Amino acid sequence: MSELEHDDVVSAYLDGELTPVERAAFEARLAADADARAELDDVAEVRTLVRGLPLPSMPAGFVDELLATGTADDAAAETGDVAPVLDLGTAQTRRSGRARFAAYAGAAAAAVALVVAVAMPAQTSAKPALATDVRVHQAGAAASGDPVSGLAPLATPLRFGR
Amino acid sequence: MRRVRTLACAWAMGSVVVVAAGLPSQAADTSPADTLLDRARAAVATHEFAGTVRVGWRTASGMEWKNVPVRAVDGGLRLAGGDLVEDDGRAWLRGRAGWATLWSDTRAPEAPSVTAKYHVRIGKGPHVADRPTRALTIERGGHVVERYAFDRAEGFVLRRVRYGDDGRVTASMSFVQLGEVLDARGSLQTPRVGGSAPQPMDRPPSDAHRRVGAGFVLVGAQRVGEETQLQYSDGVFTASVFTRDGVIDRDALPTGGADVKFDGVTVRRYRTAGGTVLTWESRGRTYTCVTDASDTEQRAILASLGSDDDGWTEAVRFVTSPFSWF
Amino acid sequence: MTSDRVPTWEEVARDHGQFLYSVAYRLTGNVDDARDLVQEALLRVRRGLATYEPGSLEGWLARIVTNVFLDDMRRKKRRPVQALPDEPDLVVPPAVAADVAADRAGLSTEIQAAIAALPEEFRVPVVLCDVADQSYEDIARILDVPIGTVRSRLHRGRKLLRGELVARGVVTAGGVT
Repeated sequence: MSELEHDDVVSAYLDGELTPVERAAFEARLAADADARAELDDVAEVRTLVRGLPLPSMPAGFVDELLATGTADDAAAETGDVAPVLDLGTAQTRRSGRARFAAYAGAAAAAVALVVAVAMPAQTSAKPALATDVRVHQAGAAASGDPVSGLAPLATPLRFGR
Repeated sequence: MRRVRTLACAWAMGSVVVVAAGLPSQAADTSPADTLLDRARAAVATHEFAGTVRVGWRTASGMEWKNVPVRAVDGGLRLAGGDLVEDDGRAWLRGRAGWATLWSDTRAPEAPSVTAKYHVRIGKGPHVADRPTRALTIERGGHVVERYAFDRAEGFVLRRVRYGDDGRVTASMSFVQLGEVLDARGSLQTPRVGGSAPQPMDRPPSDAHRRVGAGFVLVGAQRVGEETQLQYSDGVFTASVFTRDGVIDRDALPTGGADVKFDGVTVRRYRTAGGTVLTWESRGRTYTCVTDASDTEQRAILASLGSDDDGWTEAVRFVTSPFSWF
Repeated sequence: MTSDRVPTWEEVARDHGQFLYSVAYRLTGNVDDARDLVQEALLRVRRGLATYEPGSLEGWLARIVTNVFLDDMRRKKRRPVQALPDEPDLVVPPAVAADVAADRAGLSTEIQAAIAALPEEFRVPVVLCDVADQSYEDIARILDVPIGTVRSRLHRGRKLLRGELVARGVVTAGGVT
């Protein structure tokens, strides 16, 4: 039985927390006592195992979630855009000189349009209302899901990116 | 009014991990996950509170954030200081040109159960805005797609985070401050339902696909101006397909976005905070799909819609009565 | 990170989220609790940044995580966690974090389980020293105890841990008798 069994100097030695004098004294004991060396090995083994543990993987999106927990006091990146504009299409298009035909409605008219499209290269042009589509889609999804999380994104600026 | 989700009848592909007994007020044929979501909806309509939510969304250059004030009052919602109003499913947005009615249908769509396509786990959630929560994790194929934190006391959604295929957050909403919660009384004064509001259709067009993509089921149809909107849901994600006659006036498209080829058709794709927007033309009609589903799901949706000139490859004729969508 | 200026809380979340999580996970032993712990710690970080003096950031963060952990432990002891009678909790086995080295997954799980089996009094110094890499002096400051106490609790923790690991067959009994 080693008198070092309950002596925390072993850990302190392994952690480099002994003064030079204490370290010298301890190393002298080690040199003279095989049981002490065995005790040191046992504790060193445990210490090494814990220190050797790999970093635990963070759950997916963890840092983003942390960043999502901002408080009401945050001033970061506030654009001040309080009144969202519904239709951005007009603001961002290039003007075109092409003639535009009125859109048709109904199945019969669609068949006619198909024939017309084959016969004439200039086709009926639909003016896209993408901003409306997005907002209506979001509102519809919110109507069947959670209203707050479904609608709150509508209060953010709508930009069409890549 | 409480809206109960029904289980998708033919193809329950998911499973629920439940070890102990269920939640309060759980109907026999709904999963605990659906109950949590329905309860959350009802909780907003029956309580009054004021708070702030932090909304996040991913753009090409990283996450962007905005704080949005939220007020539940008189059974409805007022967000962003009253620029956004909701009551019983109807929604209005105040723009520079005045009020726009974004949704006018008060009927609840019968969306598939969350567990029709996804796995769910329910457990202890984090504290959000100083309130303890219950967490719902929605997964598929070993990936978490969405996570909710419901207020333990009243059931509201206090946090909702959505993840992309790569595991990164794509959208998030979290209460950062919430005041006292009281019972709602009275009824909210709302704007008028405008003439250009989306009009619900009693039955969808005869050529509407009943199912698109992987498990997206037709749950509603609206007339939106000159367009027809078909609303699809897979229990978690939604996709709207807008169709109108006429081909795309490419000059009128917003700048930005990317052209991608799909089955020989050029699709213009945009990423927005409201989801991905895909627009293309086929047989003299213009299609616009808006969805918060992943790129993989989008491809499946496009494939099933059919985008070549040979016509629809998977058209399913709508044959049952006007009030049944399945 | 250089310690000559006060970071923003976002920088702490981005650059030190892994550190916070590692300490929290080794202390709590499961993903859900670790997640909660880090969220709460980050809130305290935000409040504390106003008066933070640049120095050892990780030491400061380790102290905050430890305090949240110990506060939680005290709260749980005072009021045992119970499901409300009319709302039984759905109990899901807590998720275990996947460790980075897949071939070591089994060993890491065992070691983590052994750490989690230690009483907090001994678990905390072991984690602070061997996971958070804090000096005895730092640990003494964090726990508000004399250095001698840190040394003895740490050593006792390692001995207990060894006993756990022997019991699990991770290390062989031997050495001193």
